[in-house]
Amino acid sequence: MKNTKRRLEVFSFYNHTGIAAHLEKMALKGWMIQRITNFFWVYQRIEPKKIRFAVSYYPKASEFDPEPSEYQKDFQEFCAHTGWKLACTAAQMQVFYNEEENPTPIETEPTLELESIHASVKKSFLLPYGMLTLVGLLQGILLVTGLLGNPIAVLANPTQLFTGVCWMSLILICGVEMICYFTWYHRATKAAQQGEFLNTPDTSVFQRIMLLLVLVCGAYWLVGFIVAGNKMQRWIGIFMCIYMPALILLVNAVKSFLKRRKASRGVNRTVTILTSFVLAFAMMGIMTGVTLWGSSHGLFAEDDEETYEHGGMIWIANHDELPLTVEDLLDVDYDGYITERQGTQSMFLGNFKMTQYPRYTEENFAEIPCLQYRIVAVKMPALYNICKNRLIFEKESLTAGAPMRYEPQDAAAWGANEVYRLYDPEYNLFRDTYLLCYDRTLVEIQFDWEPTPEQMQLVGERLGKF
Amino acid sequence: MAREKFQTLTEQMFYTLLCLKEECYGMDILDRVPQMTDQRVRIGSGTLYTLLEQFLEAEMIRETKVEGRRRSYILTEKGKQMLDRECVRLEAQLRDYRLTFGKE
Repeated sequence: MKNTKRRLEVFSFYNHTGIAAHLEKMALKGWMIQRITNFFWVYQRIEPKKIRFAVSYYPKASEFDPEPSEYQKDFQEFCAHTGWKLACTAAQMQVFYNEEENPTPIETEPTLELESIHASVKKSFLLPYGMLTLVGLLQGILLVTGLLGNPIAVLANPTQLFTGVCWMSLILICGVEMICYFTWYHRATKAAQQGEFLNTPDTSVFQRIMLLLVLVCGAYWLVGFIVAGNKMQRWIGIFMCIYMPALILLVNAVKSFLKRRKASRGVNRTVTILTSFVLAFAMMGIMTGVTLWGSSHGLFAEDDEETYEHGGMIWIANHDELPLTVEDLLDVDYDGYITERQGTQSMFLGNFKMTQYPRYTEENFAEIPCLQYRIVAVKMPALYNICKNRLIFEKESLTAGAPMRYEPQDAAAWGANEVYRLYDPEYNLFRDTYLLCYDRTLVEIQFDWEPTPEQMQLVGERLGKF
Repeated sequence: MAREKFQTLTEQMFYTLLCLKEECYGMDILDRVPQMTDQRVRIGSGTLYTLLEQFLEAEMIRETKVEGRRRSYILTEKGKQMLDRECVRLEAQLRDYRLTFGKE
């Protein structure tokens, strides 16, 4: 039978009445709080009994203190005098318990209790939550800018959507928590003026729901990016999964080590903050370095992948399966093609780029026909026009050189609803680049030749219902 | 700030200062106040600790000696003035009550 239990508790820092009530319930079930860490609350098995709990705040304490200050020890002795024994502390929060039937509460003056809570909250709750909201808002702005700038890339990318959900959840949690706190503080101040205490609001259900949402999105991302991704995506995904927990663990280990060595609050805080910055940048630097080095040395080649050297670099000769190949359209006397399929997909969109080209080492490289197409699979009909307009915009306005435009063409030949062909006004000619609009699929295809009606029909059959 | 805070005294502030007419250990106030008031007023340990800190800061009491963790305090002249002022206020309230209900 286990004698200790670890639980992930989601209580607001200032929710002292909620925490006390929860700890009383746990004691009735036979679990006594032993310590509060950054990750879990640790309980120890006891004989189930009714115990009164109280959470008191000591604003002068800090989580970087090597041990309770003399004043804090005085405070704890005052509490012990009325039967309140210290169970554990976490930064300014001190958890006391009392086994007497009807003990005098630790706080009997609501105004003074409110002052202590507010001073502690400013230090340990409002400052970090305010900073997180600010960072979250900046990330939110970046996401919205990215979404407006390149909706296809963002909406088809599970990583960007997942990080977006994480940041949005963070903004929502911080916002709700701060609104709840200030509302409670305003009402509690009025109640205290009448000599009354006001229970703190409980947002733990909301916080649990947000946590669950992030976990579900995280699982979705994990499956989409790591399990279904290629070798490089797997490496980046696994690194990112390890990165954040490792960073938190290492920074916490440094803080705990300095506490054990009785380093002063100032030294501990400075070293811990510096360590977190250095480690965050160093770990990210290592990942970027390994990724760049690995991709130029064929480290991310799949086991069955073939590599070749050209220009002092290792190139991967992919043989991905494509829905449409040059051989399907032309009689070609070349069997050394590289076929590549890249892209991402989410619950909203799929965005794939397929290319077929000869090896760079081929002497007649320029004479061998190539094929390149991009498929945008629209899973949410409301996004269809946004994607179509974006594809038109990219070709008409973002292509280097003189501006070109898409001209409508006969769609029936392609079996499509709409077809556009790229027109180059500078040379007064049509390019062999087409935008094909099917019911739920948009195809941007670039030929090395002018396609025949038979080829157009085949393209429609192969790519129209991708 | 502190002066404005103690313009009027709550019961707990009043009895804490009253206990310190004579030198007294802070912790002993926790027992003395209920005795003085026939258990009507009880001061929480956290509340008393904060009050003593604030009274010290406002120079309404001063620390007289420290024995281990036990610290004793005594009322200062300023603290006495605060108590006197509170008494005058309470007496005025009582007088007004008696005038209103015709009791002498």
